[in-house]
Amino acid sequence: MNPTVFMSIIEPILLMVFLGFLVLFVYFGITFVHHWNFYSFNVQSKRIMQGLYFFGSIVILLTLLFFIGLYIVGYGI
Amino acid sequence: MAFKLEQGESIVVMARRHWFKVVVQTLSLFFSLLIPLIATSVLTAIPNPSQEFGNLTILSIICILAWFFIVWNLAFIVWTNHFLDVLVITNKQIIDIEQVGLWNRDISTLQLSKVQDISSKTEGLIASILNYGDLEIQSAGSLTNFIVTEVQRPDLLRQKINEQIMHS
Repeated sequence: MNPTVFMSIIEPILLMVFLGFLVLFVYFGITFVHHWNFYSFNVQSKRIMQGLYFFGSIVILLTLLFFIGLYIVGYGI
Repeated sequence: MAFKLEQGESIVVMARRHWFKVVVQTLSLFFSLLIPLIATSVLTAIPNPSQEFGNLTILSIICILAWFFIVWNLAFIVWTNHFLDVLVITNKQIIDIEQVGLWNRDISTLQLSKVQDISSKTEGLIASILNYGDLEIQSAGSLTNFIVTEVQRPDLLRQKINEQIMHS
């Protein structure tokens, strides 16, 4: 397959995957925060869980975005 | 909270499913992190002369990260479901909150005066060692039975419910 044709297919797929994950992150973030606040359990563990979820998700998503960019731009490691 | 207590009503004990199930689910998710290794080995086996498909090492990393993100969310779903399933025994009633998925919740209540028989069941080696099992509460009349599965310390809960029935 011609590299240009391949990249024109894979680029939008990767960006759509990233956008999909971003939507998932917002959806699950709202869901978890709602549930954990709703049940008003131990405030400290709630903060820890929320912090852990958001920090972990943001780190994974940013790394994902970085590597998608790296792949599209075409640089090696 | 998902329930409101009446005047003069107080919570005697709150119980959740045993942590063993959550640990098993979390461990299986942890082991599922090995799945992208298969994707990586397949991707790196593809002949890629003159970078025809771009840098496949980076594509492998993208696959791994995507899978990490899915597993990360699944782990929190497992934990949230565990946390939201709760059995509350008050001095007047028994409340069973069952979270089905993320946005479906079943709440059943049973007045202590309607309780006819309570039985606890611990089956199997692990359940016996870790002290978890099922609690079945039979109610009077045509009301359906209350069955709480894999709850922590079912014997103690049965005892507590009996004590509350005696006091009420």
